Amino acid sequence: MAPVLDVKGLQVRYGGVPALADVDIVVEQGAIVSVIGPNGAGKSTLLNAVMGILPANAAARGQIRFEGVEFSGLGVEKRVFGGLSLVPERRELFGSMTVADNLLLGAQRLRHLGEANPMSQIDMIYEMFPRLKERRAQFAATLSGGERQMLAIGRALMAKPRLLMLDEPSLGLAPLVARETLNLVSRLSATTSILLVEQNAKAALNVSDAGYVMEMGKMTAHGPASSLANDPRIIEAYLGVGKKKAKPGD
Amino acid sequence: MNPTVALLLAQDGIATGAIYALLAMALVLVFAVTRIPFIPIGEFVVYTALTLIAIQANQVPRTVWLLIIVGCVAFIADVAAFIRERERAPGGGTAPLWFSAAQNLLLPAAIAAIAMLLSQKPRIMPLDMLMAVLIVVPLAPMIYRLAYQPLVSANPLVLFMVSIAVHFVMIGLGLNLFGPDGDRAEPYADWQLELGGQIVRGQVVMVLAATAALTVILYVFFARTVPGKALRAVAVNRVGAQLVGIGTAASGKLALTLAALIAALCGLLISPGVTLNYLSGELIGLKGFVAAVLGGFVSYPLAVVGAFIVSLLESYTSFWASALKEVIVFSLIVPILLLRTFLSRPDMGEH
Repeated sequence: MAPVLDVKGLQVRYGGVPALADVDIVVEQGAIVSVIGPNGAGKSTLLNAVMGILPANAAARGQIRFEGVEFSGLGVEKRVFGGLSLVPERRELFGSMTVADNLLLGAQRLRHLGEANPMSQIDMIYEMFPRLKERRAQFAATLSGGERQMLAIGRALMAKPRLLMLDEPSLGLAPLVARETLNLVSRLSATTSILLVEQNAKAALNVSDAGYVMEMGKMTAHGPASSLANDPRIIEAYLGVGKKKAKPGD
Repeated sequence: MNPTVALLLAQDGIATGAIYALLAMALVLVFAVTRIPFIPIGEFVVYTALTLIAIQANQVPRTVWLLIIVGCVAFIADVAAFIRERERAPGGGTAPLWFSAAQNLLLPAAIAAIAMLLSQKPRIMPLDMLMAVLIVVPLAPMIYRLAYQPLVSANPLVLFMVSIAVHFVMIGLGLNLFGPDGDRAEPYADWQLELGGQIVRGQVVMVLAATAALTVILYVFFARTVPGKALRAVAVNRVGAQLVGIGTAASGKLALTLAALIAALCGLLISPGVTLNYLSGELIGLKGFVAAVLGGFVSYPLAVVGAFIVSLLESYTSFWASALKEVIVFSLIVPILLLRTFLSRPDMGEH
């Protein structure tokens, strides 16, 4: 079976400044793949390039194959209808619209595909996030950080995506909520493949099947998540449990 | 000025204000969804009125030929874009081409055929009005396709310049299509009411009723329907809208079509009361523009308030200093912008 996402030689430049250089990444069907790396490594640029929402001054080249179909050059709308969904770092909710309306608009893909009941996912979303059901008549802008993240994920899931891309889902959330969010990611893999970009490398690798390490716009390592989690260089650089400096008197 | 004159002027001001309010709401809608300051809106008012006048004179309006030609050009642009996209990403069906052919070739042809057929039949006022709207409104998505869609991510300044270009092209074409002379349509409400000793013209009642009805329809569209909510979503968060698959081009076309429809209805409403020629749209559109500026191009209620301020000012200054009427109305923009600037940046003076 073809991988759900197969990116080869992806280059992105922002007004001449390189942001991604020859990036390759593969997401197999039903897998959770995480991309870890420091701030400014180009992780979000990778997701935005795959989704087709790079800013106007950016130029992208390279292959982006989604379920065997070439996606580079297609508009965002067509990528969404093809089965891609992105939950961006800034969530990008419709702040002055209600929770229910945000979810309603999440189902545009199913309306486009002519599904008889485009709102079929709503009960599942409300079951997954009971808080959203309680606040369904509330404006999205009035939600807390954690609730906004739930709504952003819920809105993306309304489209029944084939690949869900999550950009820093735990960013800005309280530790407990962040842990819950990443636990949710592992549960979601039953219904969709997931590409996860996360600063919290340890938590991300814990829930993933495979991982990529990105530094300065390049992939510097990749492999099964468990081997990356045990790689001493990665442990030291990203997992925060590396060699300690000897203190005087030790 | 005695109270009777004051009330008559108020009546005029309110009826004109309702028209400016509709135009201002249309301008706010288009700007919120597309960032386009839609200056040519006045031309849609005038094109519809002059098309109606041509229909009432048992002619096939020349706007029909404009619709067919612009439709052909829009279709060619769609075919070229389709070929380019196919080269970049092979595969996919030909559905977009069929849709474009239906919208840009078939629909104008059908409208032209009906217009020709109707020109030989006895006149029925509502049918003539519907025909005028049907001929003019489909021009809006075509104009969006040709002038604005290629610049979809451009900043509002570029879109403003394109709007000025479209505005002058439409004025020039208007002269060609309708000639230089002004005219009025046949009255659609030749009656009057007596309200507390004051005579209220039927046309004023109709304008206010139509404005109220259209406002309710627009409210229901935006608050209750999925396409309406999708348009609001684009206005609230463009990136978010893209991420759920709401197309920028489709929403731009829909916003311009709605604005053109509102403008066309304004054209029908004012056509018996005012002598209009190919140039009249400029002033009408710009007054809607002043009202929209009062609302900062984002607030519908403030735009409506602005519309009534503009129209009442216009009505009373036409009595006191008719030569300075336009000067006073357009001079409003400066204090409004100053006030808005100070209100939105209260800390400016501290730097």
